[in-house]
Amino acid sequence: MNLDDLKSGQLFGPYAIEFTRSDADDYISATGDDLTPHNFGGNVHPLHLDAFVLSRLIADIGIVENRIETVHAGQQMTVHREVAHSENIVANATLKSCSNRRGSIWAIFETEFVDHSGAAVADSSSTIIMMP
Amino acid sequence: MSVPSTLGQSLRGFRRTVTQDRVTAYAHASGDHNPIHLDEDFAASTRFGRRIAHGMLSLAFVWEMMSLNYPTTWHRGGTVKTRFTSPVVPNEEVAVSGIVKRLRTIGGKQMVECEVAVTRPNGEKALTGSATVPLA
Repeated sequence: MNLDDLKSGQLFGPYAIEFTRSDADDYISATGDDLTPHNFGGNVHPLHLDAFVLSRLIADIGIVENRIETVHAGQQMTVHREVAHSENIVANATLKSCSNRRGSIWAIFETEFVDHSGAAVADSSSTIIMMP
Repeated sequence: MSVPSTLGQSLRGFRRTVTQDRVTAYAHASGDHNPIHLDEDFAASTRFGRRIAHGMLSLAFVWEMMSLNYPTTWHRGGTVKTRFTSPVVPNEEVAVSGIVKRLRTIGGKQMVECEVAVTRPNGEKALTGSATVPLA
């Protein structure tokens, strides 16, 4: 995808997500979360969902492939419920806004995460600045 | 267990060192292989001049702090809204902190709004924002 192709309202996904216990543990471990009182009770770290979608978005846009300098400027996330290991979640992302400011592209993606019944488990918003 | 719910009350925070190994592990675990985090030559050509940590890694620290302070409610109704204001570079020890800023009722639920931050050794904020969590 060329960055010039990005348009407000554009849809990305759906992205199917299913993290095994091993995937989930690797993510938590990578953050360095080893404080004794803290654990996720056998659930997926909610940010893992969002991080996964971000990785897919930057791949779909071609940021990695085309080595485009990028800044992650902001992030919002609301969690409605915990997600269990190996639970099937689907993420749908929308490019909510996209504007060119002094040669940089500012993009805001909104993502909804739903379970097999279509019930929302989380939603998020990511602001990314791309400097082609 | 008592949770922070008094205006001005500090949350239990922590410090963590962000090594390149941690950044690399985070890239593998999250799938975010953006070269600005991993490729020294590419990163040297960017405005930062060197590799930087993922903003989501700093956010994960905030998430962890909120989980520590609100263990029973954070994962069922917690909201975080943050800006990444300065990049964390490998081998920095960052401080993760929060303070109760506001108490309010939303939809009949008592909520605590905390100001949260991740601060670099030079005092610059790498992340600023708010985290809102139900009290029960």
